Amino acid sequence: MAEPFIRIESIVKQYVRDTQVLTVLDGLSLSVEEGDFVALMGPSGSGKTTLLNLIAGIDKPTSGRIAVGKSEVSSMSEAALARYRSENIGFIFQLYNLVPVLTAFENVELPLLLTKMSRAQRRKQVELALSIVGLADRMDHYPRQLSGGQEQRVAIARAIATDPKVLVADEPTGDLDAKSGEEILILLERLNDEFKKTIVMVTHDPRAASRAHRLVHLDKGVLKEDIRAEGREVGLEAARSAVVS
Amino acid sequence: MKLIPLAFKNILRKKTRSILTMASIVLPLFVICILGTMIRTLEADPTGGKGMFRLIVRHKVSLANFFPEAYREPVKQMPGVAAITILNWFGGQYIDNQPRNMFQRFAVEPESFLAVADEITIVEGTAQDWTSDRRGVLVGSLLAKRYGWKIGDQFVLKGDIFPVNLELTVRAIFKAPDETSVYFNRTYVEESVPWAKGLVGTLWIKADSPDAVARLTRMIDERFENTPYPTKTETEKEFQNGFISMLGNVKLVLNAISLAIGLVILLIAANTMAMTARERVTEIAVLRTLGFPKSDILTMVLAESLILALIGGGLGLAFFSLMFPGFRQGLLESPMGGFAAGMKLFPEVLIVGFLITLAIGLAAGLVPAFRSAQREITDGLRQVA
Amino acid sequence: MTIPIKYNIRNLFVRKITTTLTVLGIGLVVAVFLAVMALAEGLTRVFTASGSERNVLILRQNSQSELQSGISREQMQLVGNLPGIQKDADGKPLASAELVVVLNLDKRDGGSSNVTLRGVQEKGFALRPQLKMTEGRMFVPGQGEVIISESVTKRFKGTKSGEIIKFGAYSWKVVGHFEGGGTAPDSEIWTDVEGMMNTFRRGGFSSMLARTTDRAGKDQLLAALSADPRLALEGKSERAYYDEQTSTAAPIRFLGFFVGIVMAVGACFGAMNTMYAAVSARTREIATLRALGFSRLSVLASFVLESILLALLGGLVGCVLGLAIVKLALSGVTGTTNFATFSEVVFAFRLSPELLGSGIIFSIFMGFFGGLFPAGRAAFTKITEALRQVG
Repeated sequence: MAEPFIRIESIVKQYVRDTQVLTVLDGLSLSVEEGDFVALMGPSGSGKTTLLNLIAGIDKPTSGRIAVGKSEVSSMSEAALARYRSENIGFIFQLYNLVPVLTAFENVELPLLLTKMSRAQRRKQVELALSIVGLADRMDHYPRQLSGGQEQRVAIARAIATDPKVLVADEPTGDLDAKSGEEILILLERLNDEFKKTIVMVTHDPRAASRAHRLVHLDKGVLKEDIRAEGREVGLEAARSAVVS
Repeated sequence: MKLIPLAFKNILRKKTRSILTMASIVLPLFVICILGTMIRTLEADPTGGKGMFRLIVRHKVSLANFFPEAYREPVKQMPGVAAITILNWFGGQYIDNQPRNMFQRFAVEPESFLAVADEITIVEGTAQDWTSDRRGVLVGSLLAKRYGWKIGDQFVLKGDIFPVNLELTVRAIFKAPDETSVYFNRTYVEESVPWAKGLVGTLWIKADSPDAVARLTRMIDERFENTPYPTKTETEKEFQNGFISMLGNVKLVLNAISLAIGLVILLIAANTMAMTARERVTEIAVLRTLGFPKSDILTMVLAESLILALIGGGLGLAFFSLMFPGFRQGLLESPMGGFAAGMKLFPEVLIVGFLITLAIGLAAGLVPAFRSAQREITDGLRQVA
Repeated sequence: MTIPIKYNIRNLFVRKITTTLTVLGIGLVVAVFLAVMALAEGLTRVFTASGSERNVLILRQNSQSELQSGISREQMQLVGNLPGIQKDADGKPLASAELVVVLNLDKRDGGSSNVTLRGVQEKGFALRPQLKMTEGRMFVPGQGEVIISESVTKRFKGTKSGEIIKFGAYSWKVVGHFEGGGTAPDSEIWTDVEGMMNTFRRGGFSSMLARTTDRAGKDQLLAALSADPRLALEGKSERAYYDEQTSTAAPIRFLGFFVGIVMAVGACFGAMNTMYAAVSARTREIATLRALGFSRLSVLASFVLESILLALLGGLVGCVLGLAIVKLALSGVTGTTNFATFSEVVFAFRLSPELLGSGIIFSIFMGFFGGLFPAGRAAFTKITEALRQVG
């Protein structure tokens, strides 16, 4: 059997706040197969966002090992981490975090500026990404001219523009109404299905979690429950029970 | 480098703020340029090199004190003296004491005067016309234009130090770096004011070499040191700036004020950059998440600060360059005319102005840029803007 | 209903960096303004403090200053007998005919400058009661002795008691020092007039100073002087004579205002920036206040007040800074040339309470103008939109 794509081994993450040591992740281990769609759930302070940030390479563990594909994320320098993020990770935020002074096109183009692509190649890539999220006709709009759902779709286009292997999403539907949220989930499923993106998503929302193939439940920095879907999705039932327990 | 276009867009984001910040640079920089020009003028040679070879001997106390004409002969015999002449400050009034009617009036010895003041070019009338008429006057072309004087015109100067009204006829008009003076024959004054006979205000000397200048300065003053009329010998440059330096340490005051103005601009620009950087904490964290390295963030914030400062500074320098001729003209007509004549649009003032702008842009952006680049991404993302 | 001022003060403390930078900027402007004005003030004070209303200075007609004036021995006798002049205990008129000559001496910090040498008659001291001997003794007439003001001694070489001052062919022995309470004699060297006339081979005096009995006496004397065309003299109160010279400080004052205003405009923009940022960061807060029932006017007043508070802090910092500069860095005496007399006026920087007050008022103006437009924006925030806006 091949090695799993994302390998997290005995990870510990501690913060020092006013001389008090706060343990957010406490020796957690987890593997994620390539092409999987994982929902991270758990109450506030359970460490799910921290885990997401560690996978994305925007935070460093206190100890333990994180590897994604061939990248030894936990032992990388600042500069290597930046390159790792740019090449391997697409990040989707709860509050979209588009740059307000840039148009949809320019926002999506932003990560491509870090590649060696020519202007024309970038243009093609941006157009492709925007058409995947269904916003090819909104290229020249500024974020404030878009609805929340549209903004999140632009943000997803930005995340996939460089064609990364992994998408990490932090409450991608947390700030959206049910309809827009549903659209985003459909889009994520499609990215997982059709484009074979490995997705790790933090969420509170059982409906969002129910679409994942695997549900990882954290509590107080340790793995509490790990449910694999029997069919294609974990389903609402399992997701609900994870929230309640 | 990749994020520099974003820096431009950020400046346009808060237009009011950017405009206010730039505006707060324009005016103070304008003033720094004016002060700088004054400092440069004090340092510069108003005679364009010729003054290096020219020495002026006056009574140690002031121009208004006289010494005997008998001083001329021993000085003339000193080695290194190429030519020597007598210039007396006449003072007096033309029409009234309004600033626009202020100009310098000198009673001179015409022939020897022209030999010493070799930067003077007579453009209308001839030297002969002037030297041969005891009541003739040689006027600067700027004054001729201002008062509409033509060859043959007459005007009256009312004396105060010398109680006499001189009726002068314009015999020649000259061009020179400083055209705000008139020169007439001192025998005319001496004939009318008996006590003025044999009294000298200044001796002007043309030295034959730069070495002679330093030597003569010492020799002349030592020669007359212990007499009832001690002298002060200085180069024309020192002499021209004498009035300003009599005010005290003007250069120090001007420099100190320029420095303070620069600091104020810096504080304002730094404030803008601090506000801007704080409002964009999340955005910068997002850029870092997308994979932009710290150096790109540092460059972006610094670039934004520099662009702001350079636009403001550029406008200030342009404004100064545009206003300068009018400003100088205004000063020329004032009692500071003699000083203003030496004022130029010094390129070094513009260069220093530019460097100050650059320094302000860099200094104002430095701390916010480093803080932005160093902040942990997760901290930045947690902050709700 | 007014919004409590506590609200503004707390907000200023919340934005530490911005508040500090703005306060420092305004403080620096006020400090520079104060320093330049203290220079002008110190110089002006020399003239305004000099001269008594009851003393009449007599000069030759049309003389701008004592330097251009001349009075003969005969004229002096005639003036002494004119009405209005107070008589001293010895029955003689309380008047002093004086001679002034400008000397050029070497300064302690390099270069040289002009100083007035004044020859006075016996009554010269009674006419200027502010003069106090501080060291040594009074000169003995006819012995070529001088007394020198403390301030001049601080600025010029070889002017201490026991030293010899030298100018051209002349020299004098320094025998004592005096202090004139910041008035004109503080820039002078004094000797006896007869000895001085001998030295310089002068037949006449420069001017004459006389104490009048009272206001009526002064008018009497002035009238008597102008009534006699043969005298060709004119009198003015000593006070008026010095007042005319205060224009010496005009260029400095101009510089102070010019630089002060230009810098203030800059600082005003800075304050405006700060306040605009404060308003936009608090849009929701403002809307909430409005929803709670505070009027537009109270929001406007509140933000203008906050801006004034900010500037006032700057003004206070500026005053402290200005005081520190003047008291520590510029505490010595300085000098400039008075072109009416072609000699140096020695004076000290002077930061009067009035000047400090004007610095504070200056800062309030900056705060007011800097706050007005941002406060306007705050006052016209649309409540509903602002409440909907995400933080």
